[in-house]
Amino acid sequence: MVSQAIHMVLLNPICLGLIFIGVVIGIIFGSIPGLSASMALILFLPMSFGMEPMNGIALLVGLYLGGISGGLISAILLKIPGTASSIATVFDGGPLADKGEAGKALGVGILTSFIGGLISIFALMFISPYLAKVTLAFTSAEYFSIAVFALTIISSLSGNSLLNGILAGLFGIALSLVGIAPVDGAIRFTFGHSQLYGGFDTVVILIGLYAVTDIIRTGFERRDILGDGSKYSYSLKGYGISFKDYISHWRLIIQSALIGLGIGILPGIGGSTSSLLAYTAGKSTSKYPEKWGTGIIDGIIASETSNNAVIGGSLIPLITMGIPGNVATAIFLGGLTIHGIAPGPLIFMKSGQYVYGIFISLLVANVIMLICERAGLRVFVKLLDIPKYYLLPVVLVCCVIGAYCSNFSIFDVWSVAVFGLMGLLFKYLKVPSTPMIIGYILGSMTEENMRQALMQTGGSWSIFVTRPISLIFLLIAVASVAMTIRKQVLKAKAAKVAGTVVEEEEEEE
Amino acid sequence: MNLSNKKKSILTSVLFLIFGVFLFVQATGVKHMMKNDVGSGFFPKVIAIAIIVAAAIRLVMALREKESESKASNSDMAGGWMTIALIGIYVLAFNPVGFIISTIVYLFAQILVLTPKEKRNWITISAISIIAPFALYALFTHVISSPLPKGIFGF
Repeated sequence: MVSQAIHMVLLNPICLGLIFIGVVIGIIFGSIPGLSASMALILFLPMSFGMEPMNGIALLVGLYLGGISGGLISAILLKIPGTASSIATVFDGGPLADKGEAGKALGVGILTSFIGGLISIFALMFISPYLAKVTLAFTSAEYFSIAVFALTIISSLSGNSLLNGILAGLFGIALSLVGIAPVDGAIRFTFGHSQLYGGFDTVVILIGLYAVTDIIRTGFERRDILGDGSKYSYSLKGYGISFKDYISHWRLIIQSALIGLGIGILPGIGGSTSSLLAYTAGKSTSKYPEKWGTGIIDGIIASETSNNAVIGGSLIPLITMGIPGNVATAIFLGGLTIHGIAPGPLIFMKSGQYVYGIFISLLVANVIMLICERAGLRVFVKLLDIPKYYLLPVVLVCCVIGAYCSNFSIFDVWSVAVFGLMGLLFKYLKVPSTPMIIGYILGSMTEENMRQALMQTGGSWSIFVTRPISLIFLLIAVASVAMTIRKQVLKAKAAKVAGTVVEEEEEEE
Repeated sequence: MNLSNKKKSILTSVLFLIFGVFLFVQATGVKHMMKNDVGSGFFPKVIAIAIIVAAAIRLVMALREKESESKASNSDMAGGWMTIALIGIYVLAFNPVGFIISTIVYLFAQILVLTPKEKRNWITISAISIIAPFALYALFTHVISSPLPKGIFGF
């Protein structure tokens, strides 16, 4: 299977070309504030449907990796993170640029993104086959509990308001109920529309919530569309750092990579939290914490190593259990299923060549990123000048095409606009949208496994707590909710004492 | 539309409460088809109840929240609503009018809405709104071979 994978990826110029295109477009989308890695993935997902399975998946791999890696360019040169994942890169990248060392910051950022990615890809390659063997013993009871676990984690960790997150997750599950039900095939919640028999298309919801919403919001904020327009210039030789100097940060590199990897494996936390966490952890374990934030490369290393390490981590639960932990992996899941590749414990046996293909594509994409982002830096920096008022309308047109081409149905095109408006309402009410999309994807998995488990036991619910693995996941789910409630109560008390209201900000991918 | 945080919280809870009740009522109408199965109406009812409970707690908390000044936003109502209207018209016209014409009109109008007055360059705006649709049409129909709507004029 490995040799098959090598044939499909390494010895296939089309596939290599698509990875290259994916990485480059990903970097562009990642670097321009207002466009995101998720948007790049969403736009190209329908296009990947028509390709050979491996080619389509490789394109998505390139886009994901490039998208996460591009954010550092604007984080350093504009002091605005190009994607939310690069948020902590601004803390030291900005001051470095002030000092005239933007070039060094960019070089180190690219290099350490590569290393973070590499560590996590190796972790993915070594962990997932073993995890798949473990999950082979899972029955519907375990899958039900894991889905519940994933849903609670996502709801409680995205955004600061627990209840808004839970409501969003539940709403997503409710959306997944539309159409033909699992198990008995009952038709429900279609209100007589035959277009709804198959339920809503994931692509349609994603395009609406993550692309159309953003474009409408730009309309509301068009006065800010020009930005302040100041861009730092840079000069850079090589990667701006000697090998010896870089390696001397090995503890920070490994620590940040592990944080990214762990955050990636856990559902729902995402790149922005991982970069912030790795930055905080790096600062508190540093010998000179007072220098952090004044423009030292340690800050760049912490942030950029960890956000790229999320990539491999987030693919572990996706490949072995079919559980997406963030928007990017949710899109990935769509790309895999359309080609008949079902993630889960059997994936190594049934579609092993594609799994190894994904591993190889990731490695290739990582190398291409390292070379291209550095070699093409001048071009990527130039592209930051393209005005958003030209770019976003064209992106919207691509969204509409994407929605139309996934099923050639005009109903999907209308749905995209409706979901766009819904996303706008959610944003306005400060309801996070990531739990909704994960709820949508895990909803049918939860229901199907619950009903199958109950059918086996003749309706006895005890199966979910008597099977040990299922029990453990349910207990962690309860514990995570309890902890979040406690944190919120404490925060509310603190806010009362201080007499201020803590402003809630939503995490964005 | 600059509601305080408290009013937003109340609105959120009420909207989800209504949705929860609506979902529950709809779920009671789902037929039970297999004997040893909980039925396709069961899980939706559980979700509906969970939504109602969570929204009710949210409402209680919202009512106890203190009024807080929400930050004066720099938002621009006209720009937002025009964008919504343009997207609405575009998706409705997409099929009957056809991809190329509807996209040219949409792009031109949308770029005009988003571009600040002093930056308007009619030649660039026209060039983008004409070249982009043709390029995308060619890409999708010929390279990716997924046809786009031709519309009433046959192109």
